[in-house]
Amino acid sequence: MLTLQAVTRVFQSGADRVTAIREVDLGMKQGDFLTVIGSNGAGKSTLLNLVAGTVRPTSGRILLDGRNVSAVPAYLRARAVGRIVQNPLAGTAPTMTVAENLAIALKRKGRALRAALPRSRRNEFRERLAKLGVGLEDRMNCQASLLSGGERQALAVLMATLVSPRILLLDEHTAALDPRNAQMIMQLTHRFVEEAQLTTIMVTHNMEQAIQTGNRLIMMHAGEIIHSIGGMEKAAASVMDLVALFSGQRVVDDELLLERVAQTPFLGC
Amino acid sequence: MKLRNLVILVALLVAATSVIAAGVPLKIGICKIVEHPALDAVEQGTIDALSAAGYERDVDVEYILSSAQNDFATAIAIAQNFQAQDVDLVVAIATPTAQAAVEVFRDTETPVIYAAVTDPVGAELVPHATDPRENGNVTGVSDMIPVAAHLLLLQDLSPNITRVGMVYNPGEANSVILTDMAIAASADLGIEIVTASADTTANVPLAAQSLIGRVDAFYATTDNTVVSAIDAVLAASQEAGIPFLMADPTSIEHATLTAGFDYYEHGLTVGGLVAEVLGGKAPNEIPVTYQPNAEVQLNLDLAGAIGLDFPARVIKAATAVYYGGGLWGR
Amino acid sequence: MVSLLVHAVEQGFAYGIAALGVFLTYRILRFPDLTVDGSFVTGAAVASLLLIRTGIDPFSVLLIAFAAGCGAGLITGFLNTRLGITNLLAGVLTMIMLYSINLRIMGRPNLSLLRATTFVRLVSSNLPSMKGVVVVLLIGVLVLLVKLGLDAFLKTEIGFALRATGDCEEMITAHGVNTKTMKLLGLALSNGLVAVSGALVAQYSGFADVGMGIGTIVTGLAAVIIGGTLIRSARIGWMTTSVLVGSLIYRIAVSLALRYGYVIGFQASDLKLITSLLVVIALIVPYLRERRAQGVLSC
Repeated sequence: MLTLQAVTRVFQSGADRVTAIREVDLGMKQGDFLTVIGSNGAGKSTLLNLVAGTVRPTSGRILLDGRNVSAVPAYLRARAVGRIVQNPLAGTAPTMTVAENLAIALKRKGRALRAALPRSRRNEFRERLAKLGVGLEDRMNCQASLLSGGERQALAVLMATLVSPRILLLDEHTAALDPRNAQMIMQLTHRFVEEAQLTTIMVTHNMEQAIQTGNRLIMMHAGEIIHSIGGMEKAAASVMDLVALFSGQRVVDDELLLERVAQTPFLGC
Repeated sequence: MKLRNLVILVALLVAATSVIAAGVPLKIGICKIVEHPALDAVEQGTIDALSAAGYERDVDVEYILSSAQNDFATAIAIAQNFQAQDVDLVVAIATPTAQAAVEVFRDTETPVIYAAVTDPVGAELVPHATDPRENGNVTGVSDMIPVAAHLLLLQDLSPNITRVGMVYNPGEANSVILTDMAIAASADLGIEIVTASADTTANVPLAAQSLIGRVDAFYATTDNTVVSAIDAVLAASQEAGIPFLMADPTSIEHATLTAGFDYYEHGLTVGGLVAEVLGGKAPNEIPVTYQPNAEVQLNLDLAGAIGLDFPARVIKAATAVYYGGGLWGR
Repeated sequence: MVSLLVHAVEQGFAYGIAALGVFLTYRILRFPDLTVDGSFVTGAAVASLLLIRTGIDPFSVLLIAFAAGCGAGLITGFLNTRLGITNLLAGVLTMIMLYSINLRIMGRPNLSLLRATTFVRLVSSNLPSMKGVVVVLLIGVLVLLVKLGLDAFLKTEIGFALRATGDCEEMITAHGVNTKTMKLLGLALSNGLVAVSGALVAQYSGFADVGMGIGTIVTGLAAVIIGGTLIRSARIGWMTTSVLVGSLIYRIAVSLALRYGYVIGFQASDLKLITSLLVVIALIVPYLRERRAQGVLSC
């Protein structure tokens, strides 16, 4: 339901010219869960931005459910695209309450002069917040800015999926959280994705997470997809395989190496 | 002291025979739209005239002096303040302060005396200029300038003066009125008025310079903005070698010639009017008083610098000349 | 003293509507809008012209003034959203444009309403004995209606979208809202309110003057900030109340200063300095509080 055809994105600032995404082709079926890994500057975030519409392709086409949305602005694409970003502060309106934030998330279009938060809606929200399991149902009238990072991100997850989007974009959405909260958010994410069978793209730096989550994986480098695995091959892959793939492609990245070191058990010196 | 001033003071002393017995001092609120030499002079003139009439400051009358600092809301607040302090009479100097005072004291018995308002009827302070019966509690003195007479004076300087340049601030009510009057009068006199607008004092030099080469003389009225930057207009006129007529005699050092009245004298007239009202005359018995405008002053130093010789007729009309750094009366 | 306070309350309410307008852009939309110095006069100019030239009643002219103010706000919005001019500059440009436009509307720098049928005139001709009380009540009722209307609007779906635009543009865009439209809406509404305030003040003062808007942004901010420091709440109803309270306090303080300030040598000319100092003090308090609090509100 999502297709990228020879999409290229070049950023130009004065004399500097960066090709963030280079002639990328990508296709996703309904229900796919795609994880994206790659070094810094590989173009992962740009890829998500292209799908969300905050960035337009310099050339190529982006099709959503068969419609060419390359020129559609982000706020209109938001009707079909849900997004959770890395910074918990950017996913919610800080001075508005938890309940008010949810009220906003209840609509992706067609806002009118109706009351946004009638009593009936509050009860509905209380139930849904309770299912998050982080205690937000008791803090519905708290301003979002007073929540912890984990709580805010949990709220962002609920908000992004309140009205099931056609495609959900996760931009390293656990990277800014401590391990315990990161795990909690991932569990919540899994639950919502499975319940609604959401088509999802998840960008992550964590190779373990990339392997264990979803049914497809792509590896990006310098704006291109250098490797793509899915199905059985993905299920059987391990972190070492991926690192080897990277090395094999003559792509050696400090960050990846450090990750490898972290994941290799200490054997003594 | 000039003869005319003396006459005014004597008239006031005569009127002072009906001074109210000293008991509770009278309260008079005097407000002006902004602090400015001309308006300050009006205030001082008013107080001095009242003193001469027997209303001694802090003995017979207590003054509350306020300036609105060119702020609309402050003008209103000052008028309301006067009301809260139960003043016996209000003197409002300049149009916006006068309007505020008239509105606040509407439907009351407190007399409101306006001063330095060019067009009291246009500002709707009083309904008619000559028939005072519907004035209510309002009367006052207008500083209307006989613009046509001033243009004639310029014509007298030289037959070559056919285009007259005026720098003015389109945001000042009095100035707009006078400039429009000049334009209206100019047609009959065979003169063309060329205007340049300056909405702040900073823009006056530019406006004045833009008229160089396009006019044969400069003319300025009592526009607060221009008065604050009068030397810029003078400089432009000197550069172009043409005369500059300023409608304010106190500016004689800053113009080739001046015509008009002294604002201090305007204040004396106002004070005289106040004394009349305090003495029992009702505001709705007094029509708009116009300040007499008879002075003409010549600056021989500046005229000499541009090679201008005053014709005999002009010299005869002059009441004073400025020469060698000093003022010489007749 | 009582009459002094009554007048201060009248002014506090009348200018309070403009303060609500400033609140909408400055606090809610996080868009510092300097257009208000111009749109205040636009409202006064339009209302004055209509009262003098036509037979339209003094209350309907308020509605027309509102529309004129909306137009002014849209100019700034257009400059900012379509031409990409930064918010402060866009506001200043419109404000300067409005100076000339306002002069055109009025035809002259000063329009007298002393003979026109203002709402004050209506009251004094129908209820002369109770003029003082009725005028205050009328203005008070009007302000209350405006406040309640604004509160209700800010609790609608569109109102939420407007609030979130000021709070976190990235987030609300991701939920399907065109933030450019929201900014246009906010600016239009805000300047509409400011224009209504100008129309009201002109009627109350008896005249309109092209320079009467100078300082509207400062007195508006003073009200917003003083009120916001005294009543700290994230709830819309309390926030708008705080703005009106701030406006009242400001005007009362000014009246008292004008009346009794001579004791410490205070002159009317010191007023602008005092106003700015008041705003600075009111700003320091929350700044110090924020320094002590955890982190900074960011988006």
